Amino acid sequence: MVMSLEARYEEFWRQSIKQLNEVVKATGLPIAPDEKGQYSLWYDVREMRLRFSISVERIKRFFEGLREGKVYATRCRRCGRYYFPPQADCPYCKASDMDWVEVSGEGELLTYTVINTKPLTYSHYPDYVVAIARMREGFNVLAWLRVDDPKRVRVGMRVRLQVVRREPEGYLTYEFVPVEQ
Amino acid sequence: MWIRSVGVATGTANLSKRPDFIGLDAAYQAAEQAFKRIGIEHKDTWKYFDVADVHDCFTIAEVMAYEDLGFVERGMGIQLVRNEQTYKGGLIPVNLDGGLKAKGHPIGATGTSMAVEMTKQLRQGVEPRDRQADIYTGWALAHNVGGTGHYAYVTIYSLDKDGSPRVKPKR
Ligand SMILES: [Zn+2]
Repeated sequence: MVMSLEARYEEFWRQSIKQLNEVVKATGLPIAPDEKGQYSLWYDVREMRLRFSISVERIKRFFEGLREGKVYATRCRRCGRYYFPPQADCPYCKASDMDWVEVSGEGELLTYTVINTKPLTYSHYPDYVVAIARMREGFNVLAWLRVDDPKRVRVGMRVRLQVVRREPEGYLTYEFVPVEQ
Repeated sequence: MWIRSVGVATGTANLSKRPDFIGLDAAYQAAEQAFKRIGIEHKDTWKYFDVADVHDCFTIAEVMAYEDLGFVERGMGIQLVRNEQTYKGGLIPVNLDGGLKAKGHPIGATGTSMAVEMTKQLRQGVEPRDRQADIYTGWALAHNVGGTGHYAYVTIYSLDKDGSPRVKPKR
């Protein structure tokens, strides 16, 4: 049986807490060595759960766009500056006078890094490439670059920004893909 | 020991909003403020300071710091290291305490340790003695960075309460 992601994280935490409880029972204190066994760490006996919730009311057009397979930026009507990820306010004009514009998607790779050491909730993904590309419109976008072989990634290569479904979670996001020359 | 100048600046946390990746604008701006207050130009600044601590949270960050602080011009930071000019006895001795990676970068304590180190250096009280910088002008600089490089602090210390820094003697 394949365990769901949530169940895997829960199992990880359950095991950690179980071990910690055993340490407290045996030694009287929640102190245990770190992962490498080098340093003693104090583990708080109370758990804090945190999941952020952020208002997207003023930029919800962006998320509607993802559902339509489109990536939107905002552009200030007064100064012409692009904002991506989209912002509802222009800090230069101190105004909220924005147009929603679909991003051309055509970009050139400026820089990238291959992530092979991942936090727990990213640990189920194969190594992934985080990249920044300069879009034709003149602003930059940071996104994952979908490639089979990270060794073939080159600064200056042409990429296209597209809406994808990130699996196995199944949520909509945007990624770069190389443009075949 | 006098804190003669402090420069503080912020920049964008989002790397995609930076015009380039070869320096930290927050650090450059913090340095600009700090130098302005003591009346020196943001150029060839190595010549005013006996010693400096810079925020080498990563290897490249140290080289970018040399350039953001104006020790040398953009692109020349690596030459300072290659020519051992950031060593004791060099043009500008940097991180004689080993720097962040050597001290385990204990975050907040890193900044405090820079203040302690610059004070010890200028008072010529560093132990062991083989990492005591030669003190000529009595001025030192600490450069501290936070976040993804979107906060920066440049603090300038001096043994003198008044006046601008002198230029170090030629050796
Ligand atoms: Zn504007």
